Amino acid sequence: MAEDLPIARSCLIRASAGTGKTEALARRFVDLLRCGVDPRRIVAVTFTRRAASEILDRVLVKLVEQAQADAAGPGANPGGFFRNALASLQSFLADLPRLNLRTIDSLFQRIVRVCPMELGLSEDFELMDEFEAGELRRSLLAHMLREDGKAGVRLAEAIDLLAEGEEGKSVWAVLDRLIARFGDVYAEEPRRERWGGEALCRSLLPGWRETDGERLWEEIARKLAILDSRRAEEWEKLRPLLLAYQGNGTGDRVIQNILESYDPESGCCGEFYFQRKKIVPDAETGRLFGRLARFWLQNGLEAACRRTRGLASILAEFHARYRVALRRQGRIAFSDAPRLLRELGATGGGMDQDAWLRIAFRLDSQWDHWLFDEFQDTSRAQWQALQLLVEETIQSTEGARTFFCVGDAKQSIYGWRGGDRKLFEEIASRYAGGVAIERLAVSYRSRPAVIDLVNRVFGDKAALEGLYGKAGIAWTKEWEPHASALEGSTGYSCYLEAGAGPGEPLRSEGGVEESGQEDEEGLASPVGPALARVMREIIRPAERGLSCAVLVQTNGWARRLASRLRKERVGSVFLEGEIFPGADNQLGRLVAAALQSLVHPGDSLARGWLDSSPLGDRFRREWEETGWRILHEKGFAGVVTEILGRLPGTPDAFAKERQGLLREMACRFDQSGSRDIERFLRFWREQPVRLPETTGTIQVMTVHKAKGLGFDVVVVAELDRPIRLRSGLLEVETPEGAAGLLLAPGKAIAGKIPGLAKARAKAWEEELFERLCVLYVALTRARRELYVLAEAPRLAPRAGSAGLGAPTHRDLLRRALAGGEPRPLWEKSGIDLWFERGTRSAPEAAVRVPLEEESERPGSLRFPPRSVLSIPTAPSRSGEERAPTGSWVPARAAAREWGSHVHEWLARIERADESTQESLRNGAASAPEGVARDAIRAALACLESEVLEEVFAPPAGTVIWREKAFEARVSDCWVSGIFDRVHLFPGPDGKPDSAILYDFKTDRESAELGEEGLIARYREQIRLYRAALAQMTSLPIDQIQAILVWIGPQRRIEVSDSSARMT
Amino acid sequence: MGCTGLEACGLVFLGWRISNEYLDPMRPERIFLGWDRPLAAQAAEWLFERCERGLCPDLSRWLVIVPTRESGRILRGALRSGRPEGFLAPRVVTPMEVYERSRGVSEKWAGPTARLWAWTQLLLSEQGADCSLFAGEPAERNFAWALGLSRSLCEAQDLLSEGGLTFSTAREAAGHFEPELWLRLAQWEERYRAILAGAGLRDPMEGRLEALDKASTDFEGDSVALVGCPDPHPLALRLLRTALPDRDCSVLIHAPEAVSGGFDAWGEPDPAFWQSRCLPFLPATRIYAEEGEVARRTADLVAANQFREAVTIGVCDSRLLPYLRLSLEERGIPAFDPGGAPAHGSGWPSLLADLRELLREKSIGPFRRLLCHPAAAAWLGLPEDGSRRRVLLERLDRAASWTLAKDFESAARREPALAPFAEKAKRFLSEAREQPLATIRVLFEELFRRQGGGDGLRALSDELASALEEMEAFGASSTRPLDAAEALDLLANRLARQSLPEERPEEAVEIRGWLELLWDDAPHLVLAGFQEGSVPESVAHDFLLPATLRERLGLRTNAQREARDSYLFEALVEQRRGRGRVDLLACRFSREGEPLFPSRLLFRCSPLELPGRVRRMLEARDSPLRRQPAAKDSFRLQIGPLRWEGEKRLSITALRDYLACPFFFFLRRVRRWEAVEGPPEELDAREFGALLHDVLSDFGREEAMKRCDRSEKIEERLHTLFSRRLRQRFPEGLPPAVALQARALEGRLSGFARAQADEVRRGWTTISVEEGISSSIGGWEIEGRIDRVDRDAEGRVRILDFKSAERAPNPRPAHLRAATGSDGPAPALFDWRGKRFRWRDLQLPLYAAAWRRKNPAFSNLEVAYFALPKHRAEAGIQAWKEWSQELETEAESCAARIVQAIEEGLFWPPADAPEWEREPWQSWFDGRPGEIVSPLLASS
Ligand code: SF4
Repeated sequence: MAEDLPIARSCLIRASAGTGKTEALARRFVDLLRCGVDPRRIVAVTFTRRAASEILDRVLVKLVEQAQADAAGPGANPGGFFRNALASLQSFLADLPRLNLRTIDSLFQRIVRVCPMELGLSEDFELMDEFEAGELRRSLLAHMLREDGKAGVRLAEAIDLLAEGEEGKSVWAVLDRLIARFGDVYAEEPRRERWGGEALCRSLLPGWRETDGERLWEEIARKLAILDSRRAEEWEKLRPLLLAYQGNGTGDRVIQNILESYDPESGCCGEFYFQRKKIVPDAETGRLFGRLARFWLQNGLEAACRRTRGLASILAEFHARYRVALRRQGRIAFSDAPRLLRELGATGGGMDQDAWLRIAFRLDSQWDHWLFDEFQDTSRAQWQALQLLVEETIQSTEGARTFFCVGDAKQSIYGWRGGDRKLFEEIASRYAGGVAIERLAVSYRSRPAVIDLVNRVFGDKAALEGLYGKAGIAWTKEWEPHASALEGSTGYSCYLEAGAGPGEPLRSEGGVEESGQEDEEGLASPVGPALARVMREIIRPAERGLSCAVLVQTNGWARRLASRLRKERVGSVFLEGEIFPGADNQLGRLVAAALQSLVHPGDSLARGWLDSSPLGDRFRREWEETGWRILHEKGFAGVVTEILGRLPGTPDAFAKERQGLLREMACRFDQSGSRDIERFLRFWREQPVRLPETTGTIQVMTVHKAKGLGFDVVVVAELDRPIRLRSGLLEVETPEGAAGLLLAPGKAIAGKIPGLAKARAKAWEEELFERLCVLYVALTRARRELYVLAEAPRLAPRAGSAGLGAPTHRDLLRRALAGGEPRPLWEKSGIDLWFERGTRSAPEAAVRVPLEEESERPGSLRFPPRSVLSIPTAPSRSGEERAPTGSWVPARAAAREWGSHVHEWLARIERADESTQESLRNGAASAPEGVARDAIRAALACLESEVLEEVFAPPAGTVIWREKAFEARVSDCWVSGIFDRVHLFPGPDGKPDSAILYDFKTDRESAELGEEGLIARYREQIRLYRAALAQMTSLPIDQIQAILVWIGPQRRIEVSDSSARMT
Repeated sequence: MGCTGLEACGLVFLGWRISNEYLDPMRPERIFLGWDRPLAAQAAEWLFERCERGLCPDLSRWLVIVPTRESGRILRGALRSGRPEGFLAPRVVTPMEVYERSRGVSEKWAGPTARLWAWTQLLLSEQGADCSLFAGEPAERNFAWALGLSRSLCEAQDLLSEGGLTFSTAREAAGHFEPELWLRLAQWEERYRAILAGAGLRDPMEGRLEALDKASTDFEGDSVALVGCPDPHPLALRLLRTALPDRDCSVLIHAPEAVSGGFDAWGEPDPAFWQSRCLPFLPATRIYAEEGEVARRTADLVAANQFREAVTIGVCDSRLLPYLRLSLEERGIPAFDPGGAPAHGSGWPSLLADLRELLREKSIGPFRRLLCHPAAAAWLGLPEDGSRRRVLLERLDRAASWTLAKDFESAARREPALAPFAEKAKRFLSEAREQPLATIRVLFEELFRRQGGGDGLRALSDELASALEEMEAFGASSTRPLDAAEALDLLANRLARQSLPEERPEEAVEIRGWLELLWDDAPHLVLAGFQEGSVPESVAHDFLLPATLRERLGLRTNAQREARDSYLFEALVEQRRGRGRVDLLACRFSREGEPLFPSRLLFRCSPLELPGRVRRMLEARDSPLRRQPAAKDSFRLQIGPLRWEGEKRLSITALRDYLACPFFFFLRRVRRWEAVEGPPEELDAREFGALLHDVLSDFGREEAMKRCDRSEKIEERLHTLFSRRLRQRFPEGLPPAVALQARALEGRLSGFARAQADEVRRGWTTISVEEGISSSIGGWEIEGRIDRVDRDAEGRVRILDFKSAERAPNPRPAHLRAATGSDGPAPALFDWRGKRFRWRDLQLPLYAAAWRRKNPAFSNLEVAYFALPKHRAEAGIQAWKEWSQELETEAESCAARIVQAIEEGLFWPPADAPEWEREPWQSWFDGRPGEIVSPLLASS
């Protein structure tokens, strides 16, 4: 390969949504191939498996097209490539097995696969799917909760620190939630001192410590003449509450007020309100109040640190168990791979040069060309694991190594999962000049009307900066107006707001309800009914043959809207592009009921359900008798077949479809080998089956699930909720350089500690930016039609919440889209149209792929009878019963071994002459003590025995067969066996005219058995052998004598015809 | 001899030496059979042409080497068809079985389990701990880790043996590839051998290499034929090469003379030749979008055949197998895999796992599962009897949720019915501690005695038994004895990759793996799952033997595999060109969405053809989308008759269910449907609340505390009472989870203490606790129990109900809400002060009314919740502010309306109640009972 490639060596592409990231990547890949690069030196990573296969396809398509173009015209080579397209294609296909065109997860998995031992994993470790990971978590949690002793004490201490005595009822629920939220953060940052450590605490609030609250209180009280008597009394009453304040919980209003008036610079408080009266402290009192504020800050901060430490030790407890469990059970989750790799380096701080060399050698490849897709979603951990290699590539001065990445900071919605959009910028700025930067802003997905709306919203600099502050400014820097490549084709977009109908109460009166606020809110939202109506009357996906998605931000909303649409029967509605065959239909429930009532007979709900089903209680009683056996013999697949098979009537199309899926699920579960019903039932209920994009249906899903997908019609909802800081865990950096994590104390406290205030502002900016990304991703999923549907602001805006710093997407949409008065979409519908572009059109007739016609039937092929079907009978040659228990009796095993040794020695004896005996004696002498020597001795004894003389010393001229396998067809069945010894006696013409068939028997229980017993045991075998011998030799059967030679007692037993009766 | 059939020919012979080192290795004779007819038939004919003609056809002097046991079976079948009257059979062996002819009798060879255990011992020994094999080994050196590593080491040893290498000889050959690692491996191998030797065992590969070295094989002057064996184990070939007078060796190749350039002297396909060969592209090649379609299409193709035996399914990708079996099953086609079914489907691995878990953790889960396993239950003493098992399981659930115990013994102490079984399990555990292997032996003997027969089970039993024997062989010599759970680990490991013979059903279609297909003679072959990665099979054992090193060490290379598979593919197609048909099916995605790719062999063609073939492959993506049929309920539940059964007596809390939804009330209060959740880890919300109630009512009964207004004192007293309650509830000691929950409870008790002190200071005194009340309404007894009644100095009386929800509830919205139109059941609705309302609960009003009737002297009545939420600062009285007696009256008339409705059997239709959206009801009724249930009304 030449040194300098005719393409940009390092290249970074900012590609907006729908502008062909995949295409760009595939083009790059092809260029590399045509430059003569060895395919296995290219690493191309993306995030989803679909995308990986999409890239592969595009590479192939391009190569094929170029090859055909090459063939058509004379070899024009505009790119100046070294290799023609056809050769590139061939080399690509030949290297398929070594191609590294994969998801980033599978790339890491591949790397881990070559160094499992170093990571303490077994080589054949498996990947956990979501269900298995959940099961593991569940079982680890259960273990944690059941541990006593030191571990129990540690856990209790941690919970004490965290909850400070305000635990919920269920420890399980608390732990489960914490681990779900913060488990990954801990896995990334397991240094305990960073979690609310002392140093962090001190550096955030340096200086003196206010320790004696009581004294301070007394001092203030002395100065508080400014208060009237009633207030003074109130003030005194508040004393315990105020002194105990630690920054969380509600606290008293006055605390907030005093804190608000506190100036960290001067350490003094200014005026504040107490009991609706403005208190204006003098300088001295202001200082005293300042100290009180300081006291609170300090206590609040310390409490936050304590809670953080408590959280960290809970996470540490879990994490330690998790790490052990990973290794013990030999399974890892995808996300574990980069973390594991970090442990590899000699220094433990990531993979070093040495580790990489070893890995590269085992990977058997050198990776010179890096292609990253969706780079903004790459996490720090993933990047750190690869950094060494990739940066080496970027910095490399050789022309033979290249770097390419494509991404879009505007679509970084996986921050909560570790996606780090800043990596993109870091590279861009660190290697500025060395990296060619390109932008793609022409959408191949969305039509102009859709793009119009997107441009209006995200190009509104004033609105963005006004509402989103710094995040808005950052966004506008990223922003470049989009264009549509589908100029001229019809499309539609609009912005709607749905208000409550007249007279409907917006929310229930009274206090907080037990069932949780969110449910109520969702039920009361007018968005649901509006969506249903728009769907039914305008979008009509089934009728118009369009794929349609409703995009929201949270799972809760997705669930609620889906169930709303289902209830209103607007068509087939799917949640998150998934179905749950075990839980979403009667057949699945029937199986669950049968199994649940089997394993928990006291579950009268499941039992009653089963009894009320068409199978009824008769089946249930029978099932109680037979169910377990069916389960253990045939697995869950057998159970499902059995239960569904019992249903009367013929299944309709839906039932057939579900039956198929259910069988498949059971079968999949059976692969695990487990027979645990409880585990199965969890699997049954929770395991989704992903659906491909289907036209005519409505997919309700979160924006996160929709990433990377496109739909003909998209409705975006859930736009009205004020944005909140979700994480609660602040990344704090102090000027002294101490960095760490802290569970944020209340805003009143955090706002007055500069380090925390900064961290909070930063987190807030991140949050806002990511929310904008979510909106951007949502709006850019639409191909033809985009409906943005928000809830109209309620008449009385909730005090405080809509204030500064908590914008909603609706605020942005209104500012950017509204122009003039809205008009009602329908009379009295409460739905207002604020913005509209384009027109709706009937879609072009969908290109229906004709169903594949059944190719011609194989018909009746003519063929000779196949040998596979002739199954030989192998009559029992030994006394061992065929029952499986046999193998467990130690004596049997020894007997078997002895028997085979004896046979083997006897088979070697042609005639009992001196030299044979001699060699046997020598054999016995040299053999070690034990079965082997006993066997030789037994064989020798046979030779020396008078009774058996004729067996080993037949008359001269006798043809002797020793240990001959034979096959013969005797009375319509195949006999397959071994003649131990046959003597064929020559007749007058020299041809054999009679024979003796000897069969050696090594049965040892001589006393109990007796000769009759032995004969009975082997009669059938001998009959078949004799018949076979007669047939093979064409001797009359009465010329064949059959003799059992009983080795132990050295007896010859003739098995005569009369005794050889048919059974 | 115990065995029959030709598999037994691998007998052990004392060898005499043929030393042929001085002989120039001569070329074996290659015979090209052609590939237009089935291989087995051709080979059989060829053999019969060469048999000795005596009394009967005699092939007993022939040693025939075939690739696998199954191909041996096929060959014998072909031989039988050739001479039905009978013949003396040749010995048919697989390549590596040739070695078994060369063993000395006295040697004891280590089986797979013995080898594993030897490595494991070494890894866990002090020596092993001193110097680790790999850089940065794990923190935890436990058995599981050692077993995993041992498996890999054994596998690596086996791989190396292809090249006749051991770790130490490979070390020399590896050269600069990770030299320290190989040095350590070589040293460790020495120690491993020493451990084996301590038990009188030797590594079998060592024996083979020795045999090779000494060339001590006895062929007794047999004629040897290597038949249809394109890829024999290299070590077997080496043995033949060194030990065989080659004039006697014939290599039968299933290919025509014309491609003779494609094979080496021993019939192995030559990579260079096959790499440049254009392979056929079948017209019946289909690439589907997804695996499931391949399975369905395969089943269709089988079904279209008139005779089942005309077709064989070649499963190139084993992951397809389960789906394929399902598709066949759906069409009612029985399938038979001569290679057997994987043992993990047998249920035995799960039994082993349960036993291990019982040994390691003594927990309830595995104990319960053993009770449910037919054979294991019998072993524990429970005969196959559905109703007895049902009772036991019910008891076990009860005991588990009462004791919250983690071990089965404490659960069993609670329920005497479980005792005998727990006793048996306990005995097993203690015996297993004393004598692990012997105990396991006895256990298995019993378990297998209770199973039926069958070849599969017998094979499984044999396999386990010999694994156990191998472990026993170590007996005294072992430095680190094996505990029972570890022994079970080794047994499970033995089963992991085992296949068990299965019964051939009537009219079954055969399923074979890719490498078994050369010998198959069905005229119609369906190649299902012709995927890249499966054909040619890609072997990864990268961590020790990456491809480059493999090549360097002379092990089988990927190029060789590719050549073999190219040849196989062409041979399979050619064999059927004139007389049958081959369908080739592949797909682009697995069932789970993982991208797949058709085999690269499909692109082995001239450059001109290539673009066309690639296009064909790419078209697959556009295959029709699967349409989801509209959801429909396959059946409805028939529930009814909907009428009240039993006495006219109801609790006040039951009324709440009716107010939520009459049908819910029917199921819960008439039918008494109640779910059982899995084994609980901690107290559930109800029990948590009950415990809190108990403590508080204990407290309320204490005269001495009634006027106490010091929260610390109250708290102290509460804690005493609380620990007394806990001791009563958990006499065996507090389960750890409950100890954690107890803190939450204590937190609430402190909240209570503070609030209680406040109330006393305000002048309130408790006058009654847990007071039972009952009113007669509409001829029904409506009963309840008032948590507490307080009175203050001014004579006001306050009825209190403790609420331990996480957040403090407000009594008014909990009881009442504004109604719109007609939501909720009719009896719940009423008009008040000009507005429509709906009752959600009647608790406090009915308490008040009943109490007032009982104590007419007190007229000034209030009602409130005593809230004890998570945040202790929020604990306190939540009074119903606009309380009025009117509401009492209205509540009573609502109760009367309800009982009347109940009497009339008004339980239908169901209301839109939140209960239906909560688990477990949600999953059973899908939140829409009205559609899923078809009620049997009482009148009909
Ligand atoms: S502390 Fe409470 S119980 Fe004790 S004397 Fe004082 S008021 Fe009475």
